[in-house]
Order: sequence, then C-alpha cells, then structure tokens
Amino acid sequence: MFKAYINGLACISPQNTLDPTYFMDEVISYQDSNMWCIEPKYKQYINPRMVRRMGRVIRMGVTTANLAMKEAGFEKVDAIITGTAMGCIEDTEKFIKRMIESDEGLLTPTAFIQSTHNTIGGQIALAHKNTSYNMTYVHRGLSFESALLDALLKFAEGDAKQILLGSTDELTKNNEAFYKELGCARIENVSNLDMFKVNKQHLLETSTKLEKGTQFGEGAGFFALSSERQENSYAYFRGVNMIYRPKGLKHIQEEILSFLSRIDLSLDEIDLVLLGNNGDRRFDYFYHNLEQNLFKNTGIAYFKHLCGEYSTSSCFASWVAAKILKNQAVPETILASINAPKKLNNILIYNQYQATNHVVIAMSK
Amino acid sequence: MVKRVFVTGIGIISAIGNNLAETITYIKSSATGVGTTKYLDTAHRETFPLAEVKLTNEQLHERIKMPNPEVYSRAASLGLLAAREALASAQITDIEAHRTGLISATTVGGMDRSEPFYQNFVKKNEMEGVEVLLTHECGDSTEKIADALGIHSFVSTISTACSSSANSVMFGARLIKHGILDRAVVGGTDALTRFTLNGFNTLKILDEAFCQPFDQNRRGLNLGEGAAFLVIESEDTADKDRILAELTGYANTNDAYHQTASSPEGLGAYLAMKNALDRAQLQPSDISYINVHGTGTLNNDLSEGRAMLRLFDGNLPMFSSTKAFTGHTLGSAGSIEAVLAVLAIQKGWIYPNLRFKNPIEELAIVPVTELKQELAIEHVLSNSFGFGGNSSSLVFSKYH
Repeated sequence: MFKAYINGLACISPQNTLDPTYFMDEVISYQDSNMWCIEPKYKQYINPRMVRRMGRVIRMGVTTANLAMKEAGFEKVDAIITGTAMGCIEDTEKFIKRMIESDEGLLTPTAFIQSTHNTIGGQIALAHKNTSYNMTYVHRGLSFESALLDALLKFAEGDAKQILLGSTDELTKNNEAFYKELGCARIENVSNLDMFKVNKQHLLETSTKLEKGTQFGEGAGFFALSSERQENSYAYFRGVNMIYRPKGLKHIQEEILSFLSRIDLSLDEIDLVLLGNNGDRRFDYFYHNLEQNLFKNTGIAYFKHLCGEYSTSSCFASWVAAKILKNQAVPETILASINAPKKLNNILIYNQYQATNHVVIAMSK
Repeated sequence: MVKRVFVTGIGIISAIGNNLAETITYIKSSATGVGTTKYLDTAHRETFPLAEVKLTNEQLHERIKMPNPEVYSRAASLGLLAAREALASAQITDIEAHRTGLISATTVGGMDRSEPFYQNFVKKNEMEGVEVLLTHECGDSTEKIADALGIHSFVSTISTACSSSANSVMFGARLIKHGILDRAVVGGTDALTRFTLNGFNTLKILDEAFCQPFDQNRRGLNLGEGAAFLVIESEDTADKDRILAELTGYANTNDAYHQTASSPEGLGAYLAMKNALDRAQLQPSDISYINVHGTGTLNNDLSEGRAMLRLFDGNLPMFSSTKAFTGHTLGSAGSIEAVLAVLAIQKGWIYPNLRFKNPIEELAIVPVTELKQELAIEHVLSNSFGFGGNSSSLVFSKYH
C-alpha cells in the first residue's frame, strides 16, 4: 500500500497560511473576482541575490519548498516533484509582450528562461545542489495529482526515502481580464465568504442565486515527505485517483468506491470529505451529488472559499487535510455538515476542474 | 510488479517526414530536415534556418480528420498524427480492451494559437478570440489527442524543457510496472513558435547556418518541431510477435548547476546515463549506440561529451546526434529520438551525424558520419537534457 508521510509543509495562499499557528480560524474576505496570495518578505527565506531575479510564482514556490524542508528537518531529498497547470505565466506574458512590442527585436533572456514550466523544480535543485530525480507535471487539474502519484510510486519502488512534493500556480492581471471575458470569473456580487454561504446552503433557498463563474485564486504549497513515519509526521498520503472525463455522476461514485477498496478503506471509515465546490452552478452539482448520496453520512468541509479556484487547488486542500489530521479538529470556518466528525483518522479530498479532470486524494492519520 | 515493458508501436512526424515511412526515406538519403524558414511567420525568417514540419496548419487540420479541426493547436495536430500512427503500428484497434493511458509532453503547448491573440491584445488592447487561450495550457494538446483516440483511463502531461518526452516514456513505463496501466501511449509534441525562436535567440545559442553537433566549429542549434509517440505495453498484454524493442533502462537526474547551462563536467548527464544503465543491469560496454542529446551548442556538446568519456572510460560506443536531421524539437526531442532508437534496433541502423567535420579538440571523439546498416544493435542509449538541469536517459534493447 502507498504511504507518503508528511513531515513538513508550507503554503502561500490568499489566507495567512504561512503563519505556522494559523488554523483557518479566520477567513480573509475578498470582494473581487480574484483572490491573490498573501506574500511574505522573501529575503528571510531565499538568498536575496536570487530573490531579485525570480518571478513571483518562483519566489512563492521556492519559499514554500524551503520551509517544508526546514520544518521536516530534511537536509536533502531523493526527488523533487512539482505540478503546475500554467507554469510561470507572468514571465511568459512578459516575454510575449516585449516580443510583440519590439516586433521581435532585441530582447533580454530572463523572462524567457523563467517562463519554462520546470523552473521551480530546477531552482530548488539549484539552491540545494540536488542532483536527484526532478520532474514537473503540467496537466490542468491533474498536475498536482500526477506529481503526488509519482511520489507515491517512487516510495513504493524503494527509490526514495525523502521527497519534496509541491505545486504552484499564479494569477496575473491579464488573466484576471481574460477569465472575466471568458465568463469563468464572476463579475457581480463577488465575495468568497458568500461563496461559502451559497455552497453551505445550496439545498435551501439560495439555489436560484447560484451563478455562473467563480473567484479565481492562486497558491504555492510544498510537502516534505518520507517513506517511514517520523516522530512529528502530520499524516500520510494514502492514494490518489484521477478520473478523466467521467461518463456521468454514477461513474464518479463507482470510481471513488473502487479507489477506496484499492486503498483498503471502507466508506464509513472516511471521517471527513473536503469538497472543492466554488459556487459556479455549471460545476457544483458534481459536489452536491456526492454530498447527498455517497457521502450523506460523512462529515463535509469546503476549502475553495479560502484559496479560490485554480488548477492545482488540491495542493491547498491537502495542506488543509494535513493540518486537520494533526490538530484533530475541523475549523468552523470550513465545516459544512451540521455535525463535526467524531473522529478524524481518514480524510478524502474530492475536486474537479472544468468537469473534465476529477480527482480523489486520500490522507490518513 | 510487472518486470518488463515492451515497445509495440511507434509514430513520428518531424522535419524529416510526416510519418515513419517518409522518415526512413529521409534517413536513407541522409537528407536534412533543416531548411529556410517557410511556415513560421517570424521577423527572423531570413536569419535562422529551422527544421519545420512541411505542412501548413490548414494541411495539418485536413490530415487529422476531426470535427472542428481549427481548434487544434499545431502541437495538438502533430501529436494526434504521431499518436495515431503509433497505435496503428501496434495494431491496436480496441483501445478499451486494456487500461490504456496517454502521457504526453510539451514545452509551449498551444502557444502558436495564443500568439496572434496576444498580438491584438498587446498592440490594440483587444480581447477578441480570447477563447484560444483555453488551448494555451500544456494539458490541452494531451486531452485533444486522448479524446480523438478514445483514451479515458489515464492522461497526464510532463514539461521538463528539452527532456520532457523522455520523461513521459519513463512515467508510462513506471505506471505499467506498478500495474496501474496495462499499456500507454507515451511521447511528446511541440510546434515552432515565435515565442520559442525569440527566446532561444536571447540566449544566443541559435546557429544562423545548419547546425553541426559535436563539431569543433559548432555554433549553436537549429530549432525544429514535431511529435513522436510510442505504444508501450506490459509483458502480460503485449503480443510477443509484435514487440519492436524492450525499454530496459531509464533515469532522470538534475545537473543542479545553472538554469540554462550544463555543468562543465556534465554531472547530470553522467548520472542519468549511469543510472539508466544500472536499471537496465548493463555495463557501459554493452551499449551498441548512443543517440546523444547533441544540440550543437558549444556548452551542451562539450559537457555531454565529457560525461560520456567519463562513463565509458574512453571506450565510447558508436554515437551520433540526429538533431542535424530533425533540428532540436524541444518537448518532443526525447520521444522522436526514442522512436529513432527503436528503429535503429529494428533496422540494424546507426544514423549519421550530418555535417560533422572536425572533432572537438578537448574531447577528440568522432561520431558516426555515414548511415551504418545491417548491424546487430543490442542496446541503444538515448540522451535528453534540458533547462532547469533536467537530464534523462533511456535504454532500448533488442527483444529476446
């Protein structure tokens, strides 16, 4: 069976997640279509000489990677595995803009060099002089999940004892405009706290208020994993299942059940399900269906009003799950079911992206 | 764990042919795919030769035979053609008969469609046609290919710069060994874009002439485009009569030296080759042929050459860079060269390193310069290295 113990973690998100004492006790409200990360002063985490040149998402990624390693007390890792859907999109746009403005004239290389999707994995390897396995997955809502699967395989293969796993995705001002134009981002009556209310009360009178579009978010998160349990382990990743273009709601339920049986868990052993609904009426029925059927007797919590919608948001959800298993409590700010779970041994994360990429992640105490 | 993973199908499209048969013809006549820029609309048309696939987007859209072909980026179209050929070559008609995954790789995904949008957005602040950005992400081409082929069990996409598609071969093999998949279509696709051309130009590593890998007077690389896919299968499902080669070794390491340059001694390259041989349980002397990364840049060829001399302790097997044929196809380079490795085993060929004249002084090593035929090729080592220090090596072996 797969086991990847979490010994250190760090997350930069639209909430105060970088504060080690933060346990979702407060949720910062965002009244805009985008939820931007709360960023630290990077010079305390990264060599100032390197920080100056790094793009924003690279700073976020390298910082959270360094912090996760530090918390776990890892000197070195045997693999660095990252996921990102959009890569370093700010640098990509910067280079495109300059190229177009100059009509393919004289350009400087920094933005191009940093635009590459594997920049963060490469920068971490460079900073730690790490010559081991280094991989970057870039498949939309399956990017973090592919990276997680790779990490689980590495441990199972006996090829690694310690692994750094993480994901990053950033928003840009341009993307904000594009998402609005595309109708993916909600323009009116926007508030992440309302998103939670809409979600929480979807069975009640608010169903007519459900709207098209959501709030977009961003984030970076890293986990320092080991193949063996350590004294301060938070929890362990037990498995991940990706479903590509499911043939309907029933198919998703069947996939979840068969995944649970593969990882040796029964439905009633699941104490809490973290759902990724985001208030977009076009997609939230996937979550509602599971909540009302498969998970009708399971504790339910939501996470996207904290981090916004983005392709690698399951990484944020994994951070939430690990914190819950460590603290053995579910914060009121995210609990959606009437009763809090009586015990917290096993958490399931279910998330989907644009109805095509569906994922289930299992984490245990 | 499944022990052995076999290659049962190959498909390829690049500057040296729109399919496997055309590729073989090009190689036999030692004809390069590098030429004057014809298809990419760029200000650098007169400056840099490119290795373009000799089809317009419209011609590609005709060939993919899909409804709404115009929503397929050049990378998605190229990828679909190569992946289809690979499945046909493996004689797979019922894709759902076994758990089949698609693992693709790319560096810029649908950038070719994003560029005209950004042109209007940057110059006129217009957002007309913003939907094309939905095909910008790397995952888009993979999903387009998976949908066209009817692959549902597993999809994923890798981007590790110029080593990307060697890594998708590796990931597919591991998924099969763990029993998560029975077989996988693995490879990569990348189309030429202004973004890439201008980007590489800022690094000053593009050759204004036709590239000369591993030559003392090498000046840089020629960018290329294309796609290649392999069908790999577990020993449990592969039809023994259709096995083209066995994937015996693979490794992924990091050079950890510089974001875009290789270390002088080629540490990442050395470790990738060594670990791949170890996994294949082979000695350096077992290798019949190395298809080197060999981009033609000052930095890569010297660094890779030093790593080879270290690993092979001076007794180098025959080697060549096929990038003088195909150009450097970035995200698809690893799988294009993987297909060529399988073909080498099949045909008993070693490819010529076109345009080679003088050995690099510091190395004094000479690649194969004319097509060698009718050799017994037992094991081929294929190297792919990239930005971010990513270094990958694959070993393909004759099936016994």
